[in-house]
Amino acid sequence: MPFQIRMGVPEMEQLWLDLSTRSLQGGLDKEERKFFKKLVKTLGHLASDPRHNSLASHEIQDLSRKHGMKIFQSYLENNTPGAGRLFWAYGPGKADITILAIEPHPEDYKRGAYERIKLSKIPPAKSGKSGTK
Amino acid sequence: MKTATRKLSEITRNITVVNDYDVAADAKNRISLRGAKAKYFHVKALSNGTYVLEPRVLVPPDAIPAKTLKMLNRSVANLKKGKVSAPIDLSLHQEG
Repeated sequence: MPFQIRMGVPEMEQLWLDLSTRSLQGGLDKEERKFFKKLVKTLGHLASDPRHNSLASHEIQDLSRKHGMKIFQSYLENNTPGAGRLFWAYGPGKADITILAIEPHPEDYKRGAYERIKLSKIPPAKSGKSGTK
Repeated sequence: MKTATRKLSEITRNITVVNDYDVAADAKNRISLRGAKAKYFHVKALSNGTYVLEPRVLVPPDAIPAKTLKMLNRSVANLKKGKVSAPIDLSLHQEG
């Protein structure tokens, strides 16, 4: 395989090891088995060809700008609204890809969207006139 | 539910008083905001009876949740220091 896959944080490595070990022992439940199958397939594609069609890999420019390195996003599923995704970057070695984060089930409007409504950053009104009812 | 929201920059730029009026709450303690430009508001009820409303914007559907972003930031920091895991072994799980 042209690339070796590495994990960016110990928790993700632990997750992989846990799922991997239990998968070999047949100890995964239905949901875990489904997720692990998708993860293995995605990581396999990523290792062989990061630009594989089914990954729909694309750079997230806001993150690239913020961190000063190219950060990509790939999907765990195809043709699925709300598909899981993973974030990755090339490095640290030439033939390495590091998984930066995995998001198995992105939150959509049904799952906690209201909790994610962000507060606009309006400075508090000095006179108390604007914004009061 | 897709919601049209105004851009944050649009809301925060040049704050001036554009409307000043008195309203009465109806039987269910509701009031109408005349010409409100935002759909969502954060409401603060103060001890002196004042209510402060601040417009809120919805996070785009494909935005990255805070938890994932935190993990991503830590991963990038580790990657820059070269402190990443050993290569994972996919061969045991791949078919064929």
